[in-house]
Amino acid sequence: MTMCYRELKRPEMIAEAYEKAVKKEPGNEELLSHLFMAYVRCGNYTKQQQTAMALYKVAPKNPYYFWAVMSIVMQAHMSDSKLSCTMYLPLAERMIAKMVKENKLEGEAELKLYIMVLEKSGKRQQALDFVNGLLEASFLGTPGSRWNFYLTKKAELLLRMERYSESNAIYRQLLLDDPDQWQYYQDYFTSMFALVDINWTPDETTQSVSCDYTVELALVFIEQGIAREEAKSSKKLRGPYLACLELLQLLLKRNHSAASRLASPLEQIKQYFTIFGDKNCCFSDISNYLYMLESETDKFLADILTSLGLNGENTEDMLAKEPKIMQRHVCYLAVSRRLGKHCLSHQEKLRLAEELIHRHREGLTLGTDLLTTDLQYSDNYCLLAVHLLYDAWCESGDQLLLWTICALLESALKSSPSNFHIKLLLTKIYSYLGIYGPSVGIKLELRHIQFDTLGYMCFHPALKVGHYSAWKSVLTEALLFFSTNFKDTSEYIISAYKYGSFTKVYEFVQFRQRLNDSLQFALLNVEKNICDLILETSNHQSAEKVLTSMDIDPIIDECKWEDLRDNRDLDVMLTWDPPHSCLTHEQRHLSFTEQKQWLRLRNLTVRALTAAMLLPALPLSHESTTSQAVNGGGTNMCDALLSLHDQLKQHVEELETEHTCERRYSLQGPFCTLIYPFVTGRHGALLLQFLRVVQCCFFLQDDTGKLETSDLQMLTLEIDESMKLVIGRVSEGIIVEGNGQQQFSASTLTQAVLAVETLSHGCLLLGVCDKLLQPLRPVTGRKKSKKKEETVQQAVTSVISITTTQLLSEFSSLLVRMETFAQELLNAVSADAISMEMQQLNLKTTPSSDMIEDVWKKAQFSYSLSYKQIRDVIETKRKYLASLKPQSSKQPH
Amino acid sequence: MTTLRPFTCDDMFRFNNVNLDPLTETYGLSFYMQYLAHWPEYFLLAEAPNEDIMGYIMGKSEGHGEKWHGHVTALTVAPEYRRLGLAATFMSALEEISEKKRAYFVDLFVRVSNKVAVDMYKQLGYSVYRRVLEYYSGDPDEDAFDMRKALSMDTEGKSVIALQHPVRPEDVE
Repeated sequence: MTMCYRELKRPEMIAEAYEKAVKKEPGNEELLSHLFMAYVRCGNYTKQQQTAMALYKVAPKNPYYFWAVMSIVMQAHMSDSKLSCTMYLPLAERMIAKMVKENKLEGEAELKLYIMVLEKSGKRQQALDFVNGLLEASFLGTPGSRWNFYLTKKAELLLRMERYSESNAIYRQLLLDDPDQWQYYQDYFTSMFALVDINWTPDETTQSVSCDYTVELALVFIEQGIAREEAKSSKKLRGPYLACLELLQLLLKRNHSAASRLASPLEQIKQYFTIFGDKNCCFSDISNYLYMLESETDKFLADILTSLGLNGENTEDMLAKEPKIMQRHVCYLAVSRRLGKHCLSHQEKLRLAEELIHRHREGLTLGTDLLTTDLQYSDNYCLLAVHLLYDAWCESGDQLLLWTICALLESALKSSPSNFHIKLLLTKIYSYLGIYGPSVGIKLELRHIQFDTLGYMCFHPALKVGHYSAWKSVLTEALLFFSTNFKDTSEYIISAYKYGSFTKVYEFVQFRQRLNDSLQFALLNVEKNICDLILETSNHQSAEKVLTSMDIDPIIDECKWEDLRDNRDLDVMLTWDPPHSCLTHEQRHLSFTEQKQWLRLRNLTVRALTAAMLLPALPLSHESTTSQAVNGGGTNMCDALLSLHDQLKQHVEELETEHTCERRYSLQGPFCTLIYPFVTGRHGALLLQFLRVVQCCFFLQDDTGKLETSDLQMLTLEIDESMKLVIGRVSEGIIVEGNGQQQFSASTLTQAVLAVETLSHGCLLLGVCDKLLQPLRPVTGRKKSKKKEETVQQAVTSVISITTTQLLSEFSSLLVRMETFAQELLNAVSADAISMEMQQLNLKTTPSSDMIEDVWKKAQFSYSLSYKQIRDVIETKRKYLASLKPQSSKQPH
Repeated sequence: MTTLRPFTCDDMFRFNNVNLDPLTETYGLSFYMQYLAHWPEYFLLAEAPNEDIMGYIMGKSEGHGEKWHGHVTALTVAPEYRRLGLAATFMSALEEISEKKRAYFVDLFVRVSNKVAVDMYKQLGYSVYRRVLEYYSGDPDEDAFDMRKALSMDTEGKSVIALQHPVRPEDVE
């Protein structure tokens, strides 16, 4: 039964079942423990607490007692800070203190929970006293090791209590034991500088404390650390060297004169490069210290280049003869780029890129023995070249550069199939070119949580080129991950209680929430709705069915905008750019905002479509005889539609004002949304016009005279204009002349995709109109109660008999216009498909034209998939339109 | 230069630079959470100064009597942070915790083809205890080495006396 309710996502039913069972057998330990777990599933902390105490009474075991304590701690986490401090935390603390007094604490988890409660209550002194009273052996991890919870917790508490000398002494000792733990250095420096700032000196009571309370002492400590590494012949640790750089940086920031006593940035970074330059991580280790080189930058670069011995005259001497030298050279190049040395002229960029491509190819010969699961030593030469070419493309717009990049990456991937950085870059550049990477073999193999963090690499690129089936399947797969999340994570919250991993309980609850509040999740839901509306609706009945099954409330917006979280991993791609060109915090924020704007556009669209569909079939004025409830519902829905129309209109206008050009984030950053093509392609305007048609049809039958037929005529003219604009954009051609050569125009394809969407929404809305107009049509064989029919007839004749005819004829002409629109859309994409098949890009002049030829074939293949799927959707929509034609015109004359 | 710390749920949002490598599997949430709930002390992560995730180790302790042992479930290091001795650091952490738990030995499974890993474990004091036939499913299936290292509880090194014959996966406890 539990499993059944769990699958049904009704955890409260499980609790109810066990409540009944426990009522019958209040002393049954097993039933009570199941009841406790049932409450955990629901997140009912109060009842958890009560049940755990009941359990403890039945069976006085420690775990049950601490389940109760943890349930109280969870209430403290979830309530406001006042209630938490005055009620829950003191209660939890007292409960544990009682056990401590009775010497009944068992195991590490319970000790840690007590420390956690004391810390959360701000009682650091008590926490410290408690830790001091314990044995080191109470915790896993032995003295003198880096996993020493006992010492690190003490040092951390002391630091927060501003007892810097004692804290510093512990960190100092921890660093002597483990000179590679970065966090210790940071806390060591923090406490040392705090001591300096307060002019602390040891007195009689503190003389035994061996801490570094002056910069001089710290200098000695750090230099001794380096000396110990220098004495080693191999396997030197990076920690002491980086700590020295960090100390230098901190001193420089404080304008401290002691900075001059340390080796200069030039010397230190050179030394670091000499020792660790052949490690792949050397670049990321030193990149944030490079700015300290200042005027010595050129000297630094020249020195390390000389040290490599790769600047010989003939080409043979240029190349690295062993992987370690090559790695050093790659690091040198990456550092140069970071220092802005790749900001070259167009020609220089191309020349350097060409050199790196050469080095990449030649470098492959050093890696012939590598396994396919290893990365090639020379891969980063290729990636650096690609970054240069990409820069050159950004400045020149020369599309040939993008094709060259793809060709290079494709060839690099062949020699290094495990290099996911190549795949990420290819996915990205292909998307710029209107190619969906996975359709041409670039698969990122996303799994589970990666749909949340990296799904953005697939969702958008698939939609953008109209690969509907791939789009649908990736949306479905990703949604499956999210829908199982809540259920699955709840089970592990239970496990955390069972195994006494109390620190994990809150962590799991937060994690579950973060996934639930994911922006991607919200987007996926609404994109899936739109996807189904486009793909699954071939007539109005199916559209109604699809919309109904979505169970959308047009009136209440269910999206919790304030809680949305950006879980995208935007740091997965490599970059060696100078700090100012990297993806900045502002850009991340901008992208998040843009995603939310896109979400709002989709959210309003789907809700407006739903509201339109839910309009009652009978016009309001004729409903006086029907029940009040239906009438009320109709008014509400009509108001909702009006309001959603206005919100959508306002939103589109805001987007138009804000998105005046295509956004481009840095290469390793996110994709932009389709907002820019959406607003420039006039899709918003057309959609809004269709929504107004629905309103017209609804109101024209209303005797309040809110609208007149002339409004509909005006609207038809406007729609005509909008359609022309949309078709204009779609017909710009997939291959265009630009930069003196032929260019593939991915934006034309995106316009076609957006036009297909607008067509699809338009069909649905005209379907709604058709239904609204049914009562006005000459009645042929429709079954209605006599009374109702009379009412309708009377109303029709009395109110708007002339208008009715006009209205119906306007609607018919609108349908015809829509059919033409679909036909023109089809013509445009068909023409593009032919030009894609027939034409070759005019690229024969480059040396790598063969490779580009292969990439072009991939583009043709991806496009052929786009074309087929777009064509199929248009055909479906034409059927939809045909089904809307009035009976009379459908019948043969 | 590393910060070694417990793995937390939020790390799953940014472990892609480790997990996109084809040798590292990304499992469903329940897999990670099961380990976090049951053996949080055995799930450790190394973080670089720039906050990149360098790699992580997942393990557990199980068995009864003289078979009470630590087990390495997954050990992975991002391509950028290889050849720094990080795997050895992780292994010694896991061994230390297992010692503390008075385990008799530590064991792990590795693809027989993964020569780099097998050699590395040998250097860290592990030996092949037995071969497990077709342990890894795939095309074709692949055998695994079950490698072990005795801890101080196992004074006579009984746990690592190699078996003469390979076993089937279903015979592995």
